Formats: sequence, C-alpha cells, structure tokens
Amino acid sequence: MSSVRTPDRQTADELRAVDAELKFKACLEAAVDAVVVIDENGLIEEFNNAAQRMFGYSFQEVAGLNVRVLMPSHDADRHDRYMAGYHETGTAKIIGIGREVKARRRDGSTFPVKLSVGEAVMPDGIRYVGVIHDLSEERATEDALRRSEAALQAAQEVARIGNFDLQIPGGRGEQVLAPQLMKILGLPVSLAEETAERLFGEMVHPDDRDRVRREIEAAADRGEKLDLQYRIQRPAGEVRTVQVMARVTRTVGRLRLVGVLHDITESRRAEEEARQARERLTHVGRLSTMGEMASGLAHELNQPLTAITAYAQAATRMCENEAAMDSGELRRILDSIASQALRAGNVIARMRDLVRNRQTEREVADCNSLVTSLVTLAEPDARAADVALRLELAEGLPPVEVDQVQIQQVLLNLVRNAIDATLAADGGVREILIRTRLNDSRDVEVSVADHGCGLPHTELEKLCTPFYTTKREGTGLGLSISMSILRAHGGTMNFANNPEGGATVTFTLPVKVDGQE
Amino acid sequence: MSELRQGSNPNAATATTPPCVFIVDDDEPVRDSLSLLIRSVGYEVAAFSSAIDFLDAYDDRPGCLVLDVRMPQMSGLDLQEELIERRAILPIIFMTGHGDVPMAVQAMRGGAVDFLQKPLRDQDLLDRINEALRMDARNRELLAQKQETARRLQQLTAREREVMALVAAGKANKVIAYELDVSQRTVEIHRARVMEKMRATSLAHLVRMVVDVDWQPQVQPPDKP
Repeated sequence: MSSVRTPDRQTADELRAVDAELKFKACLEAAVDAVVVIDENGLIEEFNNAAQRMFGYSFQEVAGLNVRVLMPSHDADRHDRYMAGYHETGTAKIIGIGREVKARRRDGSTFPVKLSVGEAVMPDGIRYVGVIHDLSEERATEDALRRSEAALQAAQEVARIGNFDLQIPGGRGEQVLAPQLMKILGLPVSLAEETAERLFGEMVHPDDRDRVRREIEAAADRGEKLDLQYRIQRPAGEVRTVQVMARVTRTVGRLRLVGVLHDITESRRAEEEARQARERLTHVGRLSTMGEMASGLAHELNQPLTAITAYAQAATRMCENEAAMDSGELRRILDSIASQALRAGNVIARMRDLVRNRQTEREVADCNSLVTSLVTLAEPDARAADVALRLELAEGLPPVEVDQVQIQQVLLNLVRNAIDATLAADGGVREILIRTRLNDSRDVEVSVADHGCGLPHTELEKLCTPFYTTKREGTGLGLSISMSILRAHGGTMNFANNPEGGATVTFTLPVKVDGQE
Repeated sequence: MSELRQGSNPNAATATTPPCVFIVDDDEPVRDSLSLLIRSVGYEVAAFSSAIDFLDAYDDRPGCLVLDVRMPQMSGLDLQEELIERRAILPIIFMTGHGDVPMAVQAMRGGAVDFLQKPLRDQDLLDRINEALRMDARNRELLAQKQETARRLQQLTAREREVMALVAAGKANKVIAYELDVSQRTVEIHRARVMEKMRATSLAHLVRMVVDVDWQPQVQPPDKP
C-alpha cells in the first residue's frame, strides 16, 4: 500500500481524503438505516445517528466496544464463531448476503432486523460495514395480517366456506382461492392457481355443468349477483353439494368472479333426513286415517260387490228357466255387472292412492280440482253422517305447486274433523262449507267451515301437538301431520270459532311463481 | 221354485194380499240387483232408497223386510226400533258390509230373522226370505186368531165373563153356583152360552183361547148378603 509521493501530490491526496471522509460521514448520518462499522476484531468504529436511535446508545458509549453488545447473547456467541471461521476459511455466512436476525437495544430488549454486511479492505486493515433495517413494524403488520388470515381461515373451515377471486381465462398471480375452498374441492392448496378455471368447469358435476355455465353467463349479462347450488366432483370421485354466491363481471372476453363457495352437503343431508322423517310420519298418519276410514271404504266396496253378486245370481236363475229368458233384460244385467265392477275398481284405486308410501311429488295443480276430487273421497263419510258438503270455489285461481296426495290428506283430515264436530254438536245445520279464494297476500286459501261443536278455546295451541286429541277414538296425529305437510309447502294453517257457532279451519298455499324452479 | 210360491202364502184364509219382499238400501244398483234376484223366484218386490220412504209407504202389508244397516239419515237399526214402536210385526233380514258384534246383537235382540254379510249368497238370502215370510204368515194368523178371540170376548155379558173366568180357573159348576150365589142351573146356562159365543169345542179349547189373548178376568168380589 505504501507508495512514494511528491509532497504536493501528498497534500492534494490528503485534502481529497479529508473531503471523502467528510462526505462519507455525511452519508452515514443521512442514512435511514443504521450503519455500524467494525474492524476485523469486531470493535465498533462507526455508529451513525440512525443506529444511535435504533439501539439507544450514543456513539461515545459504543465506540471501541465489541459489536456483541448489539446482539442477544446467544447470537453474540455465534457471531464470534462466524468471525473466527470467516477469518480462517474465508467462507462468508452473511457478508454480501444479508439476513434477518435479532438485535438488542441498550435496555436489553430485542427486535427483528434485516442485517446486510459488506466488507471493505482499507489501507490499515479490513472493515465490516453493517447496515441494519428495523423490521419491528413490518413484523407487527405481518403478524396482524397472519393472525387475521388464520382467523379467517378458521372461520371458513368451521363454516365450510371458501372465498375466491378469479378470472376466466386468467393468468398466474391473478387467481385467489382460499385454502378452505381447496379443502372443499379435495385438492392441495398448492394447486389453487391451476384450479381456478376448473372451479366452474371440470370440477362441476357433469349433470350440473351446463346449468352452471348458463347461470354464470346470465349473471354476467344482467349484472346480477350469482347465487346457485350445484354439485362438484372431487378428484377422488366424491360428490359434494355447494352453494356459490358471487359477483360476476365481464371485461373484454374475460369473466371475473368474486365470492364465496359454501359446502352445504351436510346441511342438505340433514334437510333430506328431516324430509324423509316427515314423509314417514305422513305415511303413518295416512295409514291411521285409513284405519279410521276402513269401515266406510269397506261399505263403499261392498255395495258394488253385493250388486254384482246379486245380478249374476239373478242372471243364472234366468238362464235356468227358459220361460223366464229375456235377452234384453239379460243384456242389461250384464252391463250393470260391468259398471259395478268398475265402480269397485275405482274405490280400490282411491284407497291405493291414499295408502301408497311414496316420494313427495310436487306438481302444478289447480286447487279447485283438488277440492272437487277430495269431496268424492269424503262423500261416503259425510253421507253416512248425514252432513252435506257444500263448495264455494273461486274462479280463476292461480295454480299452486303441491304434492296433491298430501294436500288431499290435509283436506280429508279437516273435512273428517268437521263431520265429527257436526256429529258432536247434535243439532244445528248439518252442512260443511269448503271455500277457495285468493287472499290479500295473494296466496290460495282453502277453508273448511262447520256448524259443529267448535274448538275449545283453552286448547287451541295444543291442537297441532302430536298425539293430542279431543276425540275418543282419535290418534291425535291428524292436525300435527297436516301442519307439517303445510309447513313443507310453505303454507300456514289457522283455526277460528265462528260467531254463529262451529269452527273454520283455513290453510294457505303459496301460488306458483313463473320461472321459479 | 214353484214350491216357494206355494209356501209364500200358506194361510190364504187369514191373508188376502200376497206377501211382498221390501228392500231398503240407499244404493241403487244394490236395490236393482236384489229386486231382480228376488223376483226371479216369484216374489213380489218393493224397493225403497231410504227408511223414511219405506215408512211413508208401508201399510202393514204382509211380507218381510230386507234392510241395509248403514244408511244416511235413518239407519237400518233405527228403522227396526221405529217398527217395534209402531207394533208392526214385519220380520227383518239385515244386510251389512261391515257387521260388528254389538250391531248384530242389537238387531237380533230386536227380533231380526238374521244378520247377513254383504255380498250375499243368493241361497242364503232366499232361504231367509222364505223363512221370514213363513214367520210373518204364522204371526199374522196368530194375530188374527187373537183378534177374533178378543172380538168374541166382546160379545159376552158381564155375568158370562164371570162364569167363564171361574170355568177357566177349573172350578166345578157347583162351586161356581155357590160363589156367584146363583143356582147350579143358571151356571149351566151361562156356561153353555159362553162355549157357544166363544165357539169353543171343548173346555181345553176355551182355556187356550183365554190364555192366548192374555185375558185378565175382572171378577167382582162375591157380593153376599
């Protein structure tokens, strides 16, 4: 390093060196990050303003001290070993690389920093320049972010909801699929980017695919929120039912969907189980209603059988006696036999409809024709009790979407109750009025009014409780089943005593809305 | 079947009108088919759709009633009660699709011929009808005899009735003469008048007539001076 210089040149060099020294100092002081310069033994030579603020030491306090004072003791020991190792092997562990380490303030507290170290070869030996960036605030922000993400993820996991923000088609870095969403799909989180476009494509159950595509396009066109349920197929083949709610926007040939996907498989299953339980109960109710009606129906069936038997026997006798033979009369007898056999068949068909345990079938139906066909079923009971059934059917009622057998069961139940009430009243008008109308809420309303014994005021709220009955031979299931059938149809049921005596039971059925599936 | 026709009217002397089988059922085909069947063996038939219609039309004509239990307004059992109330003696054959025991008991206690299950076997029904018509004829004969006995009793004088009561009680003329404080000869004359007016062929015949009409003699307490 030593060289021979002229004095002039030496002075100029010295001046330049002083100038450089000043500039270096000014730069050090201006630096935002802490700058610490140590010699090859680790002793502190420079300690800029930012370092003094960061560590709480003044320059004088640390000048000449080993840099260990700025480190937690554990790191300090390692630091000694690094330095020694570096000197021996020349293997840099930190120089020129930079890493995140812990630093120690004067008060002993530690904080995260990013440390980058450079090496300077000076005429009087090696210097290490450490630039220290305080990471405390960044770390705090990161922690907060991590915590909130963890909370979000936990919440999503519990709720089985995953959020997404994706583009179709979309590139890398543009797709967001929450880990929980990937879990619902049965895919590793690392595949999120690749999965984005498949979420509304290949992942969708083949039977639902067209519908999902149509709905997304429609939502984008109308600028409406997307809300649809469909099935997805996991790679392993398992099918899950999901509900997606999303905002869909279209920009030059690309769709952007931002929203959430909810795994509703379990709640769907629970709903399905509840529905099945309700159907089983309904079936039991229908059977018990059947039992109550059995004697009436046996009579209904026996009448045509009696007629058939007697017609056939009369015809046989006619055939045995040639003098009495009358082919016209014989023909009439045979016609009567045929029509009576058909009549018996109809009774059986009605019974079978009532008893059959079957899946709920919602069909679009006209409420008035439901009432009319029910009346033929209830007629024998009413006739036997000497009660007239009168109908007042509103014209032009909108169609309802119902399970016809179930609604007929409700009606039959109410009519039978009305007949029983009329019998219990013993006197008064022996007539039951069945009315249909469109009520103020624009629901179809059916009411069954009698002049019977009325409802006990104190027990109104008990009427729909299973197994509660006011009849000696009742099962107590009729109204509770009727209520559950109506609830499943989105309808209501109300009871009232009439001012002139008797009771009116009213139930409503929501009108079928066009386009609603 | 001609045998049935003969059997349908065993006592032409007491019943001038031929018997009729009445059918009451609210079901038209049942009425029609049963009418055909019963007519095919030669009976007269009249069918009614309700108990009330039948009661309105019925004029105590001999015959029998084929009656459905379960009908609106007035049931078969109600009609039976009403007929008992009206002292009609028409025998009843009940038909039912779902006969239960209490119903059958009530019907039989009310004097029904039988309680048949629908659908009916023709021979069962016709046998019962045959039986019912014979029963009706016999009842009417007995009734006619009672009415005749009662009519004859009406013709007796008070004294003759007194004598008849004592004769029926098995007392000798001598005893009767003492009790009534008349001569034995007088008793003999009264007794002969009684036998004549009552058209009794023997003492036993007289006694049976008196028992049949359940006659209660109103005997004056012996009025002895």
